Amino acid sequence: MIYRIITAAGLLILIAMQVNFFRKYGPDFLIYFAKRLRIVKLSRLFAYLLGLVSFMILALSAMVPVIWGADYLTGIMLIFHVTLAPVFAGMVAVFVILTGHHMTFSRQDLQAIRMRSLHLNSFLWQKIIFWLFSICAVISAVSIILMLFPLFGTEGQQVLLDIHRSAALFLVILAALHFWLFESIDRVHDS
Amino acid sequence: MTRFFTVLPIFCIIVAYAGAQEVKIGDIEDANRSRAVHVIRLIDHDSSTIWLDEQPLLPFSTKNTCGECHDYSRIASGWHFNAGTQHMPAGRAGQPWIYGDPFTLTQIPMSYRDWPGCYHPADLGIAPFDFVRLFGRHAAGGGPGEKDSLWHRDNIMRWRVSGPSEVNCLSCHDAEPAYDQSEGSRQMLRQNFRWAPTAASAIAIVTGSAMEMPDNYDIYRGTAPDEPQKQPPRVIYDPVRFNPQNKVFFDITTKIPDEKCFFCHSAGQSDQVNSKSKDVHLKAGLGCVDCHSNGLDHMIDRGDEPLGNSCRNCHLNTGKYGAPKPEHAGLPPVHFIKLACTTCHSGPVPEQVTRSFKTSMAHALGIHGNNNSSEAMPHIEAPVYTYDESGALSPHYLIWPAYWAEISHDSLVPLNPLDFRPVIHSVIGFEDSLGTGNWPMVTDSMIYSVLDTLARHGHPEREPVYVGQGRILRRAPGKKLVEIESGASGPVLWPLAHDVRPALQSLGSKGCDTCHDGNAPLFFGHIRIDGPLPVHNPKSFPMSDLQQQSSLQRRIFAASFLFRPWLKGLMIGITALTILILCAYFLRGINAVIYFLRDEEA
Repeated sequence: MIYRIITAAGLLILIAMQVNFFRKYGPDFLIYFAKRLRIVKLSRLFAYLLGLVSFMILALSAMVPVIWGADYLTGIMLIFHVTLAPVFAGMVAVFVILTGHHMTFSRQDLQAIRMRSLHLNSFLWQKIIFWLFSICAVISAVSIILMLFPLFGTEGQQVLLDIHRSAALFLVILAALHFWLFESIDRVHDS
Repeated sequence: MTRFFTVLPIFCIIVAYAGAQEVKIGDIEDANRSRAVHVIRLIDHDSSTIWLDEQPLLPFSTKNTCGECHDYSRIASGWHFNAGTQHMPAGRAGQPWIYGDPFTLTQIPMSYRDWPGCYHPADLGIAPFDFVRLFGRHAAGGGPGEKDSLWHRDNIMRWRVSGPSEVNCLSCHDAEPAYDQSEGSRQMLRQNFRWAPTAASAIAIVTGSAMEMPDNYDIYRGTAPDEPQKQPPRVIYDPVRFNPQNKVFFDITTKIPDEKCFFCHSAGQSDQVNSKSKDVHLKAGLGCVDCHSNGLDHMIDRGDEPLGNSCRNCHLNTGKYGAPKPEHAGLPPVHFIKLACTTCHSGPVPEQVTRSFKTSMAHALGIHGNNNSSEAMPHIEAPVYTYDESGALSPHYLIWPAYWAEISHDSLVPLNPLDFRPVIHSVIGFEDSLGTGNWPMVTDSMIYSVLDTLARHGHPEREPVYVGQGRILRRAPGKKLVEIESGASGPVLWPLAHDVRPALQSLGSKGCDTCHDGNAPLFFGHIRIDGPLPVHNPKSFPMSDLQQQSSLQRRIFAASFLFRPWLKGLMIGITALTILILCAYFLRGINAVIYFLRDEEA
C-alpha cells in the first residue's frame, strides 16, 4: 500500500511537472532542457529525448496498473512494458557513452562538495542525478534480467521484483528532481 | 406443591443442558494413541439388541449401534451426510450428482447444495426416495435418506419398506478386508436401504429385495402378503462372528484406507482403464485422510484456506507431514496470483482437445454388472481450465446439461426425467442393443416429435423445449426446430484436484512454452461440445472463450515469447555495456578523488 501511495505520488508529480513545462515552455520543452544540459549534438539529443519518452511510457505502463490495484503487471501492458524496456536501456547506454565525460566531476565540483557549498542552481546537482539515474537504471535492468533465468526461487524472484520496483521508483523520483532543478534555476533567474 | 412446580422447570433445564453437553465415551480423547478395539453388541433400528435366535432377524442400525458410544447427530452433520439438511452449508462447488439416461437424452447435474448450474432435486420433481434410489449407491447415508422431515408423503410407504439410509459408519471405518462397499451399493440399488450397511459388512449376508415388496410389506412378518414367491429382504448373520456375550468384533480404524475413499472418489479417462492412483502424495506414503482430515463433526477438510490443509498451507506455511517447500526457480510471482496450484500440478496433462472422463459417483464405478463401456453416459469432459471462485485459473471437469424442459414466464423449468421417461422413450425408441450407454442417433424430427408429445401431455401455457449442447430448441412451424437465445444452457463445471503430479511432471517444468505457446492447450485447447443433437457446428470451442479472455490478446502474448530469447540477449548486452562504462567512470572517479585529496593535503 505504501509502495502504491509513493508510486502514485511520484508519478503524479512527474506528470504534473511535464504538464507545467509544456504550458510554460511550449511543446519543445525537452529540447530546451537538453540544451540546458549542454546537449547540442543531434545523437545525444536523440538519445536524451527517446530515453525520456520511453522512460515515461515505461513508468506509466508499469505503475498505473499497480496503482489501480493490480498486484502484478500482466497481459498487454506487460508486453508493452517489456517491448519498450530495451529501448530505454539502450538509450541509457548510448547517453552514458556520449555524455558521461561531460558529467564527470571536476576539481571545482569536488571542492564544492568538500566545502558543502552546493547551490540549487549548480550544475553539479544534474551530474549527481545523471550518475544516480544510470546506476538505478542498471539495477532495474539487472534485477529483471535475473528474473528471466531459473536462478532464484519464489522468494528470490519476489526480492528481485521488489528491487526492480524500488529502483524504478527511484528513477521516477530522480526524473522529477531533474526537472524540478531546472525549474528552480529558472525561478532564481526570473527573480 | 407450588415448590414442586417451581423446581420442575429448573430441573428440566438442568437435565436438558446436561444432555446437550454429554460427551459419549467413544468421543473422549485421553491422549492414548493405541487403537480402540470394538467388540460391541448389535442394535437394530428399534433400539433392541440383536440375538441370533430371534426371528425374523433384522439388520443392525449404525445409528443405534455406533451411536451408543459416539455422538451420531454430530457426526451426521458432516460434509458426507448433511446434504439437504436445514443448516447445510453449500461450501465450495464440488461434483454434483448426475442423472444420465441415454433413453431420454438426459444428463442433468443436481445437488441439494446451492452450487452454480446444478438443479435442486426438488426443482426437478425428484423426491428424496428417488434421489436415494438413484444415487444412494455411492452416498455415505444420512441427509435425504434419513431425515424423515424431507420425505415426500407419496413415498412414505416405500420408505417404510426400505427403511432409512442411515450414515454408514462402517463404509469408511471398517478396515476388515472382507468389507464389501460394492455389495452395499447393490443393496441400495435394490432399495434395501435399511439392510445395506449390514450386507456390506463381513458379518452377514442379505438376500431379497425391498424393491419387489409391495407397499404394505411388514418387515416383522418377513413375507410379502399375497406374493409369497417374491423374496423379501432377509439377513443371515454369521454365527461364528458372535462371541458368547452376543458381541461382534469390528475392525474399526480412524486411519481410513485410501481404497475406501476411492470407491466413491475415483476418476479416470473413459478410454483408458487404469485403477491405480498416481497421486504423488499417496506415492510418498500419505493417505487421503492425512490431508482430508476431520474432527468428530466429520466436516472433512476440503483444503479451504486459510485454515485447511491446502497446498499453500502445507508446502509454504506449516511444512506439515514434511511437505517440501517448492523452489519454483525462475517462475514469476504473478503465477501464484493468477493460477491455482492445481493448474500446473493436478489432473491429466492437457491436450489440444478435452477428453471424456468417468467418475465413481457419475458412472457407478466399482459395482458389479455396471456398464463399463467407454461411451457410457454421463459424458464428463476434462481438463477444462477456467477461473474458480477465488479468481484463479484452475482445472475443472465439465458437463453439458441435456434435458427436457418447459418455458414458463421466460424461465426454464426442467421436467422430471423419471416421470416422462416412458413418453420420451416411446418416441425415440432407442434400445441400446450394443450396450454402449452412449447418446442414441437422433434426428431433428425425433426431437420435434418428443416436444410435440410433451406439449400434448404438459401444461397448456408452457412450451416444451429441449436443452442440450449449450442450446435450447423449441418447435417452429413446418416441423422445424429453432434455437432460443439464452445463457441458461451453458456447461456446468466443478474443480479437479487429483491426481497431483510430481514437480517434474507439472506444467511449465519443461519451459514457458508449455503454456505460453500459440497452441498451448491451457489457453488454446478446445472443449468438446457433447450431446445427442444431430447437427452442431462447431463441435468444440476454444478454452479462451470460457476464460472470457480475448483470444487475440492471448495470441499476442504467446507470440511475444518467440522474441523472449532475443530480448534476453539484447538486455544482457545493453546492460553489460552500461555496467562496463559505469565501472570505467567509477574507477576514473576514484582516481580523481584520490588525487584531489592528495593535493588538498599537500
